[in-house]
Formats: sequence, C-alpha cells, structure tokens
Amino acid sequence: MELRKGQKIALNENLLKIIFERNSGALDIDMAAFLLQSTGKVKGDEDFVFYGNPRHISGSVTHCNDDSVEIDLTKIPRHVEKISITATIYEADERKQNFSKISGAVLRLKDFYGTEIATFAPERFTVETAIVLGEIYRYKGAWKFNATGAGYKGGLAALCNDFGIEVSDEMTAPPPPPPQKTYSNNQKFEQPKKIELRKGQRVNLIKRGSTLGEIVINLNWKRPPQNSGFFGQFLNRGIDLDLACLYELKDGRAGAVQALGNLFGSLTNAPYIALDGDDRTGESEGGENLRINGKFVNKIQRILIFTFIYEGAANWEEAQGVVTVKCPGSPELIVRMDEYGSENKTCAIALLENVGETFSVEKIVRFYHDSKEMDEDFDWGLRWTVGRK
Amino acid sequence: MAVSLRKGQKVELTKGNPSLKKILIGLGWDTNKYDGGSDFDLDAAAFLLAGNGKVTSDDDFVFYNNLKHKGGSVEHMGDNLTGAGEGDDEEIKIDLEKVPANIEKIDFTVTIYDADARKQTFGQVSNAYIRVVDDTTQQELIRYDLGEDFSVETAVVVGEIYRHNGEWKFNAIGSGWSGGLAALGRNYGVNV
Repeated sequence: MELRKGQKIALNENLLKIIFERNSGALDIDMAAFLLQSTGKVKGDEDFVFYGNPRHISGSVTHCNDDSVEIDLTKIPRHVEKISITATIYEADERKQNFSKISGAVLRLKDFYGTEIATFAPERFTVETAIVLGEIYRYKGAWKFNATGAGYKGGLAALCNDFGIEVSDEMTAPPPPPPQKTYSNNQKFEQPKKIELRKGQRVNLIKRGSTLGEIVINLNWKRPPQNSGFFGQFLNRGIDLDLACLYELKDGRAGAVQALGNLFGSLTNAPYIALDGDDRTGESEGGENLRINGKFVNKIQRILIFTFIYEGAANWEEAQGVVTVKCPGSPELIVRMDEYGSENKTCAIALLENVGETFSVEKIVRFYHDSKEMDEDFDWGLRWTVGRK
Repeated sequence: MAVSLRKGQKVELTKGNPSLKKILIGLGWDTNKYDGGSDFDLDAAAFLLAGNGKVTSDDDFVFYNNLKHKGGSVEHMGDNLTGAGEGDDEEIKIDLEKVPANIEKIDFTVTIYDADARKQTFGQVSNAYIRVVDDTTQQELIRYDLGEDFSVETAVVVGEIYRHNGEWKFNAIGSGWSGGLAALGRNYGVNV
C-alpha cells in the first residue's frame, strides 16, 4: 500500500521494521525515534532512541542502523502515546547541507516476515535538515501509523528541543578539542600533511565525508642492513615487531586483534578492525597494517594500538619503530617509539578514543612485561592465556 | 545441484517431486572467533503454525526442550552448544505426510541463547544458512545463505515451509529481530 502524506493506517502487527531508503549522496543521515507522552514531550532522555542510545530500556524501539528502526508494539511503555520517527542530517549547518540533496526517499514499513505493509514517499524538501518521517500513535487502544513527512530546519537539535530533550554538545557534535590541536575543515591556514605527536598529545581525526573512511594504522621499523654477508644474516636479524590492538565496543564487547591466536578481526563485522597478514620476516617495506572501518566509528569506544616482540631481544632502539595513522582527509599522524632501554617486550603505542563521530588519537609509548599487565593498566578486562602463532 | 535462493524467494518443494516425503532442514552458522568472554550458543527451533499464523498449543514449538512434536512429524535432532565444526550446526527432520492437517506452515528460526547478558548479536554471526535436504536420498534441494544484513538482531526467522494448493513450498525469509526468542515466541503465540 502506498501512503499519501497525512494518511493513517491501523497496525495489525506486533513487530515492525521501519526503513528509510534514499540516495543520500554526500549527506550523513541518521534515523532516530522519540517516545512521546500525551504532552508531545519525552518523559526523560532515555525516551530518545538514536545511535547513542540504540535500544529503549523497554525493548520497544531499537535503532538498528542509520536507515532502520525496529518497533515492538507489545513493549511500548504505558506513558508513551506517540513515537515520532525522524531523519536528520549530521552537521547540516556546518556543511551547508539540507534534504534538497537527497533523492528517491521512501519510507518502508515491513512486518514480521519482512513483507512490506506500506510505503510512503515524502515530498521533496528544500531547506529542511530534519524530517519527522512518520508517527506511531495510540488510537482507541490500538496502534496506528501516520505518514507525517514534515520537514524542519535546525536539524536534530531543533527536534530535540521540540520534543523536550536537552541537547548537550556531545549529542549533536563531537566535543571541540583544544584549539591548538584542532584542524577543522574550513580553516584559513594550509592543513599540514603530517603531524608528529608528542607523548600525551591528543588530536582528533577529521571526518570529511559522511563517514570517517578507512583508517590505516601502519607500524614500520628499521631492517638490518642487507649487505652484511652470509654470516651477517644470522648475526643481525633485527627484531620482528607484531602490530596489534585491544578494542572495546560501545556495547561492552572487548577483545584483541593480533596475529597471535589468529585473531585477525573483520572490517565488516565486529570489531570492524582487521589486521593484514603478519609479516614475520620483516622483509616487507611497508611494515604491518591494522585497518579500522570508519563507517562503524559509532560502534567503537576505544582502541589501544600496541606492539610486542614475539621472538628476540627487546632492542627497541635498533628497531626505531614508527606508527603512522592515516585517515582520508586528516593529516598523517606520526607516533615515534622514541623511548628506549626497556627490557619489556610489549609497548602500548597509541590510544584511539571515540569522541562523538570521530576518534581522538593519543601518543602513549609505555612498556609492559606482557599484554596482561598492559590490559590491567588500561582497565580493559580481557582474559589472557599464553598463545602461539 | 541445489537451488540457491534470495531473500523473499518462494519455491516449490513437493510439486513435481512426488517422492519427497521426508525432509531435513539443516541450519549452519559461524561465530566470531574471539568470544568476548562468553561462548556463543545459537539455537534452531521450529514453530508449527495454524492458518492464523499462531501455534495451537505450546507443543507446536519444537526446540531443545521439546525435541519431538506429538505424532512425530517434526523432530529436532538436538542442541549443538558451540557451533563448531563443518556442516550443519543443527538439524530438524520433518515427515511431511505426518504433519497434522491444521498446520498450515512451519517456521524455522535461529536465536542467540542469553544474547542480552552475553552482549551478542547476529552482527557477530557469519555464513548463516538454511538448507533443505531430501532425507531419503540425502540430496540437497534448496539452500539459502542469509548474507551479512544483520547488526543488532538476536533472533532471525530464517525460512518456512507452507502448504499451497495441497503441495509444500519453501519461503526464504531472513527477517531479523532484536528481541530474541521471546519476541518471536510472542509473535507466534507461545509463552517463551
């Protein structure tokens, strides 16, 4: 059934998926839901379901991803009279974007079996940056759906304001980092291509497009000279550094990505971090790479980049390890492992933390006896056992 | 050679294949290598549904605690607690001729046991599939790979067999929900 704007239908299902299909182009659009009382306001912040609060405590509304919301009508709390399903453009004003830039927008209601119950194509918008796509509301003890399609200026902040949510800066935008460490998109000066971090320094990666893109973390180190002769090959093998990370996801899951134990990770599934094949010979010019799928930055809480020496002496000075963090649109961040003398074979190099829609990167370079000791220092809480590769 | 189905596709099972009396439903999946502190336990189940899409009694819900439907038409071959190994992780056998006349369709679901407490979702499950095998000849008839569409879901309606003009058909559903087995059960009229 194709709905016209303002058309209302009875909902005979318990479980519904509401999918907002569109060609977004460069726009970063996200869906959200507001569970409203009869006053038209939420009862509390927990009644705002969005990427930062993906499941209502009642289980009635779940933000599945940026284009679908799941509703369980049997679970809606008594104080809720209406659920407004919205779409907003992230940083619309800063980026001078609005809903005139999308095409092919269709809202699809699907039932338990994924079969389409109704579709609704909202009219074309012009200057709007937020849309109430539809509303689910109580009517004579049952639930109905209204094809609202109403546009607003002012983005998510305006909707929140309307619906009684106090907007903090963290909710709509990443907190502004200290000025000397920021490199914003509309800066007046030339953006540096590379930044070498000092110990303890933190900078934010710049989100250029609708997502962060692929973040590549490269570890490279000095190889032994190649012309040292037959015996030299044995005497001077250099050291083999393994690149690895600990991760913690927003939903509390945590783990490690490392060659040890074949925990190579995945870019498309949790943890959205993957390790390229281990270069055990140290022959490869490029060193080792960890990749983070920037599309899923919202799912990741923090990532600790570390390295360990699997075999050989802890000769950090000879290795002269360098970690480079590359992210499309951001300057390359260089973290030099420039502290030597530690006998310890594990080194925490850099910490990436979710600061809204992007990561901050902090130089750590701290040495530990093993991964377990490092884990404890950062309160990661994994179970460590001895592994081999 | 088995027919490979896309989401939403419906195909004939018994029409043109009158010798097909007993089928085996094989369900398989892989879970993320790192266990995050808890094991993954996925459970397959079958819901025997009347024309209104609901069960008639709790017995129509065949799962690890009710392995065999009365009359023996549907039998769950038992719970695999780890999902390890090649091939089907769980299997359900159906004797089509013994399915009671009031049963219009049988839905097959896979749910993550204790998903909320263990913080596990189908986002961490890969290579999930359902296949239909002729249990007499062991020939694989149908296969449906669920793909990578899932994120926060903890329960998936994988597929169903249903009666149509006196024959049985198969429907590749692949519809995921975040409320676990309880949400599916409520929808089917079972108190889970």
